[in-house]
Formats: sequence, C-alpha cells, structure tokens
Amino acid sequence: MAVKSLAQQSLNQSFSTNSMLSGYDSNYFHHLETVRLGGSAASVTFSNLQRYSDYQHLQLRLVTRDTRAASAAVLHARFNGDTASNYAVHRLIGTGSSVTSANLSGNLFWLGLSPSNSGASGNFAATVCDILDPFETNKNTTIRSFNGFGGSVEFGIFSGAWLNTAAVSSILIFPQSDNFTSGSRFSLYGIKARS
Amino acid sequence: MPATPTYILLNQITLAAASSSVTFSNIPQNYGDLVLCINGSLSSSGVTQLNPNGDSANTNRSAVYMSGSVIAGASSGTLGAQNVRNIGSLNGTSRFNAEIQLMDYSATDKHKTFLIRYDDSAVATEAMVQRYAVTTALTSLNLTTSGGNFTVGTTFYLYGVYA
Repeated sequence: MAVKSLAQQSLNQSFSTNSMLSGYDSNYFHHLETVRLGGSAASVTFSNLQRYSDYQHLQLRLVTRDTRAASAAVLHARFNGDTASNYAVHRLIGTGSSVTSANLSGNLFWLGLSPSNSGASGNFAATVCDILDPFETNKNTTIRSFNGFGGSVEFGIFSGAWLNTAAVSSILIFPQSDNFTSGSRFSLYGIKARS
Repeated sequence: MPATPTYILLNQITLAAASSSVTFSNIPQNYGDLVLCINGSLSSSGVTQLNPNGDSANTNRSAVYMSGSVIAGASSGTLGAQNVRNIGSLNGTSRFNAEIQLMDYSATDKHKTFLIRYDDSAVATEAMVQRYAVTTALTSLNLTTSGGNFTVGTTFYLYGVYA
C-alpha cells in the first residue's frame, strides 16, 4: 500500500484490522515501564535499570503538570541519586518573543518546564528525552530533551552530560518544587543496538 | 512489566498525485503517543497544517515557535489566530520534513500537546509546541496546506508508541 492512486482531491487512509501495515513490530524500540499518577507525587523514580543493560539507549516520554503556585515549574532529573555538581546542562529556548540560551550546569538535569497550578486547567507539558549509552562505563552519559506546553513562557531543547562514567542504575524525575499532579505520565523505553 | 516492542508503523501514505489533503482516520486508541513523520514539498508557497479530528477551526489552538531562518535569523514568536494550525512559521515550497509528537493523544483527562520539529530546506529549521485545548481523544489526523498541494512523492508515516 506504499503508492496511492488518487482519483479524488483528498486522500483518506482509514485503518483496518486487516491492514498489512498494522501490527508491525519493532525489535529495537521497546516500552519498558510506565508510571501514571492517580494522585499527586513529589517525584517518580525508575530504578534497578541494570536489568535493561542489554539496551544501548533509553528514552523518556513524559506528560507532566505540577502543583506549584505559579504558571510553570522546571522539570528536573538526577541519575543514581547523585546530588553533587556533576551535571553539565545547556538550554536553547524560545520565549514567544526571543531566543535565548543558558549554561545551567550544577547538581541536576533540566528536562524542560511543566505547567503549574496557576496555568490553564487541563494543560500538560510534553517531553521527549533521549539518554545515550547509559550503560557504557567508558564515557559520561549524555541526554537531549525536547519539551514544551501550549501557552508556556518558554519551550525548547535541553542537553546534559552526567560527569560520571558509572552505569546508570536509577533516574529520579521531580519538579522544581511541590508535586506532580494526577494524570501525569512517565514512560521509559529501551533502544537496542541489535536485536 | 515485560518489555513490549513499540514504535509501531500504523500506516503510511506516499502520494502518487498531488493532493491538498491527507487524512489518517479511525486511529487505534490503545497507544500512548503518536508520532507523525512527513517528508515532501508543496506546489506553491505555503506550510503544512495539522487538523486533529478534522478540526480546521482556529479556535482551541495556540502555538509557540523558535526559528533559525535565512529571513529573520534566530527568532521566537507565537502564531497568530489565522495561522495557528500551521506546523511551521514560514511559507515555503522547497523540500521540507516534519516530525510531530502527539503525546497522550487518546487521553480524555487533559488537553493535547504537540511537539513539532519542522525543517524547510530553503527557509528555516524550527521547533514548535502546540496546544489543542480539548480533552477529546484524537481519532483522526488531517493534514492540509495553507497554500498549494502536497506534491507527488510526499510521504506521511504514522507511528503508535505504547505507554
């Protein structure tokens, strides 16, 4: 079904349970875990990640909102519970009127922003964060994140390096302050180098 | 929780003739996110528009972008009401590609947030976040243009990602 013959102005592709294209399985990109909050939570942790060491890379896909008494809060992460200044972080953001950048290196990652309590009801941030070579012990683990939400004061891309060559065994995700709200979703994926 | 193969190709469309509209309908609701990848060009100056659930109204939408372009250098802005369905901020006719992440598309307890990367080979590289302020699950995606048609050979790939 790769080529469509158009006898009409528009093309409408409807899904069929018999579609030869549905049910295509990826041997390389796997869903590992998901946490969906039924109530508020101060943080979410993916732990015992050494059980996923047969994957080359990890990906986080997040849908988040928090209870901070503001319009937005920063979305943070740490590896292996490391609270030392071992995170090199940069961001490139659009504010809706200008493009700015910053060096945010310190004791945590920046993944982006989430809408908070003062923000429009129902609004959640989306984040896609790649974690490269987390189980290699000959290099520092690096991340890249794309994040934003409608009506945000800023959105953009974030990068980081964890200045530690240890294998990543846990990922802690937490807001700048207060809690994640009910409805927030945290999903972890593994990407294999080979099947 | 066992590892589950995901990033499933739900359907693909390759245009054998120019078209002003492409639709994926009856989208399965058992995935967490959708990823839509587009690679093509337009027959005249314009930009691709995204109409979730066939909604071509300019209400319930907002968009913030940042752009690196030959026209304006590095810039950021919000799309005006009449352009709010566009997935790029600048018109073009050259080869473009786009990747749209539609997160929690089937959820009925939140508005929908779209993360967009859009690159026009002659105009700009851009990132954008859009908000579709309805809690209705997305069951179809319609792509149109603000000018011209999608040209022959333009491809549209829709993936489902379990969550």
